[in-house]
Amino acid sequence: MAFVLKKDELSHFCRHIISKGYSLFAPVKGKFRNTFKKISENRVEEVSLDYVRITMPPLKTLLMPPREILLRIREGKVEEVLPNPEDKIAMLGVHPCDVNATNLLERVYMDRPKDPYFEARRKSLLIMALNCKSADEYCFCTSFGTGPSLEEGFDLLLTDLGDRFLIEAGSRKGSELIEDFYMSKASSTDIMEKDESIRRVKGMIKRHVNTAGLQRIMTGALYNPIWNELAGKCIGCGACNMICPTCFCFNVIDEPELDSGSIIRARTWDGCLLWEYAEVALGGNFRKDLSARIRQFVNHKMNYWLNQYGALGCVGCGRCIEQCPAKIDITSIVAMLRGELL
Amino acid sequence: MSNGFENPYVPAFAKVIDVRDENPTTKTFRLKMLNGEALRFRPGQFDIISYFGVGESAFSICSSPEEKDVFENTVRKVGRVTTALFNLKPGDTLGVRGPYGKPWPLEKVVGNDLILIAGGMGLAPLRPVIHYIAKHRDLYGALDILYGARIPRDMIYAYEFESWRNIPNTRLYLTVDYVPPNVKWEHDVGVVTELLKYVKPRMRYTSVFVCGPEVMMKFTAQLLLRIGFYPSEVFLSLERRMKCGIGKCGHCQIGYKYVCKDGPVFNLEEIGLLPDVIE
Ligand SMILES: Cc1cc2nc3c(=O)[nH]c(=O)nc-3n(C[C@H](O)[C@H](O)[C@H](O)COP(=O)(O)OP(=O)(O)OC[C@H]3O[C@@H](n4cnc5c(N)ncnc54)[C@H](O)[C@@H]3O)c2cc1C
Ligand code: SF4
Ligand code: FES
Repeated sequence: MAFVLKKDELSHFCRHIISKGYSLFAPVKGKFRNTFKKISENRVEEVSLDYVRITMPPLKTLLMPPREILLRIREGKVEEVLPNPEDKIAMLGVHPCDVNATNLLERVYMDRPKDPYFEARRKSLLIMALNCKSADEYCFCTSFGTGPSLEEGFDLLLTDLGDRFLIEAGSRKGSELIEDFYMSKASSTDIMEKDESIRRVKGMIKRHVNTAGLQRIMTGALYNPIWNELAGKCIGCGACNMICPTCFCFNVIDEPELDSGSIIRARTWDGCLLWEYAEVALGGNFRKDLSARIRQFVNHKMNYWLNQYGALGCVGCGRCIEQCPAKIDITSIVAMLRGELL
Repeated sequence: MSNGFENPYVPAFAKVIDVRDENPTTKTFRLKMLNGEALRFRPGQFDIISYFGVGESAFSICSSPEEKDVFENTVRKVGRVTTALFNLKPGDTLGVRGPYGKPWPLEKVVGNDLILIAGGMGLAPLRPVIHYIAKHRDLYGALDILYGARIPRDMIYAYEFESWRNIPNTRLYLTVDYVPPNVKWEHDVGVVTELLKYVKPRMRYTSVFVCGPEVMMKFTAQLLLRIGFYPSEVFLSLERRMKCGIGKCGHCQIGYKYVCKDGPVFNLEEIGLLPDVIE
């Protein structure tokens, strides 16, 4: 069942979600571009669903925070610091690539043994996705079938139809949420407009990765000189790892918590482009060379993921290309290795 | 508090029962779980030890798998966690998770001759193999143990060498890189691979387990292949940085393999396809 929400009713819709006991997260206008913020009831007017890309991947940031306390050790006892499963969270306006990235993260963290922190947050999360109404020069989701529209993995799905949103439910949780919120039913014109909008956005996407037989090509190129050439450009900052919605690596640290006199064990995002990532004791490092670290990043996404989790590990969100200070472009790396670019 | 989820990151507590000095920078800790449960493991698996406030590190479980309620870890002092552990005394407690990882394929190689090749600390994950074979001697053919260390004093488990030599159809060959002046040494001097000259392998029926520094494993593997050993019968135990032990933190990845859950034991057929192995 699909419904139509007039754009001037969006604030009302947001208030409805909050009234259902959810903490609502949605994009708001930032200084440079939109960012995801927690929306309180008196600020629902600030929600701005008009954006192409948000730098920090919103779902990863929520499900697997950049820094998260796992355990607290106090008086010889280990306490788990698990998220409260009663904390219901609703994310509004997440684009298809980010929703699909979350489905990929699930393959990592929900694989046995499950990560209880990720699992608890995922279970209390409601996803209200938003099909894209435009794309920019960095987007390449069509290569992976991860956008610009979504078929599954959402509770509710919004499509911008100009003066109104088409709203479709993708789960029982989603249908229940809008059960008692009045909206008119969508007509076949609305559905046709949605299809038309998606076709239009697909046409805007100019960047591509040819995934046909990609794994074989990547494995065959493990010793290609390209990795050394890239090492001459890359500065090893790890920005690509941090803003990648499917990068899941973490470091674990113990710290004293001075005010409580306990010890906390926390995890923080880590990335394979960073020098310390593969460091071991006595000065050993299994990826000392930047070339090996770049190769790991690109191959993990475009090759190893398929063996490890049954899908490629890239959703084509374009963040790593947009944010790379050295202007390294994963799509042209693949194209070069395929001999499609000189 | 547990919310019904099993939390794989929560360590259990173990008590230090005994501490043995192996060499000036290496100690073996005899441990017992405080909850009274046994840490049931198979030779080649590892655990992750916590020194709360400093961190966690992976260690091969190095005692006999037949021992029911105690287990051992040999720790070389190389950094923060290992230094903190080094100061522990009998009666102190620490955190333990595990056991983790794929063990040596002891079932698969039943009936074969076995060659164990160890360098330095690499003897730790092989010690349970020796204890296991001693208990199940008729399941295997000849056992040759080749062990190399930097200097004679560095050799770990030296107090057990005599009993290993007394296992039927078993030989122990030792070598060091260097013999300091005034030290008595009646064994070989040179790299551990040179000890292979003492062994008469029946290639197809011989399996080799190797553990040591990665360079040592590289040369050993190359030599074994050149001599004619089957890549599917040569097993290495790899070491990588580890932050979880359960395939989540990503650190131990080599190509598409996770050392913590697909390894640490791999055969040369598997390793041959992976990048970033052996610097
Ligand atoms: C499967 C496996 C089995 C091992 N078995 C043994 C053993 O039986 N005896 C033994 O003494 N050592 C063993 N090690 C190596 C041991 O884990 C490291 O020496 C130890 O983690 C170093 O920690 P540190 O804090 O003292 O060193 P630091 O240099 O201070 O290390 C800092 C951090 O880096 C990480 N780190 C550094 N080196 C390593 C490393 N080599 N492996 C994993 N993480 C590392 C640690 O998690 C640590 O938090 C094993 C490693 C692995 C992966
Ligand atoms: S190994 Fe690198 S590319 Fe793969 S998830 Fe970790 S940080 Fe990302
Ligand atoms: S140690 Fe964390 S993934 Fe292997």
